[in-house]
Amino acid sequence: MPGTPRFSPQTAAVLAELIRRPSRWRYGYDLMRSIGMQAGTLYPILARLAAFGWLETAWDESTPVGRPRRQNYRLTPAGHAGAREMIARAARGTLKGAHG
Amino acid sequence: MTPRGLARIIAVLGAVLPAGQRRWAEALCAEIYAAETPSERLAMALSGGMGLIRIAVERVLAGWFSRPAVLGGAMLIGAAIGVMDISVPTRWPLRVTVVVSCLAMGMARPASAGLSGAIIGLGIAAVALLDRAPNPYTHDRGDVWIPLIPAVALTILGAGLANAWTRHRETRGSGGG
Repeated sequence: MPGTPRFSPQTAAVLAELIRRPSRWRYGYDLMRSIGMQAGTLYPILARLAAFGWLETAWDESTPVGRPRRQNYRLTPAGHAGAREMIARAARGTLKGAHG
Repeated sequence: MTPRGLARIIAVLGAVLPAGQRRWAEALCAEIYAAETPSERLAMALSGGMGLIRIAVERVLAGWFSRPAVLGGAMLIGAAIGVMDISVPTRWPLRVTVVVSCLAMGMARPASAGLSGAIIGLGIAAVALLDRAPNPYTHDRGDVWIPLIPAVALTILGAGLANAWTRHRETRGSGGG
């Protein structure tokens, strides 16, 4: 799905958190705690970012046996560039809420 | 409730998600085990469950609204049937055109079935409601909504027929090859 994800303050918060340590893989719970966001808000944003090719996902193979595997997240190069632009535009006030 | 119990509920919810989206349910199940307190786990499961429903709805809506030609076509068909319906004295042209056009629309665009039927049905109703003295609906204007459910059902039936035909051709193709 090419293009730019819908902008919202919540999406910007997720992007800002992911861009803080761009090379580091992050867990969902870790993101929820860092941003102070509920799972019901975070997961649709992560799904949208992944659909736009902005988010890379990988299963954690070190998960203990008998438990579901955790999924790791980090920005792709396209996501990194897009996030920087989106955050810069948000800071300049040129990003309109109409985009979501 | 134990993490295992909550994860099971999320896994059941994940089973109804579109195939490409089920990994989000699996990922959420894993995070439920990571939560530190029972109340945090419960909040994560409840909120995450709603999030998964939102992911599914967004996918379905994106599929529908990525086809503006289908939506425009359905609007035109609905409006045309509506104009014809209030212009002729009998109901047979309405019945025949709804059956034929909705089946054809469902077969031509199975992915948009249901929505295209709803738009055709709403188009018929809109034309009759806009007309001040709609001929067949003079006594009961509520009747304008009657074609809506058959239109939706017929597009879904058309889509089912098209999908069955595609599967049949694929089976024959793989059998013969």
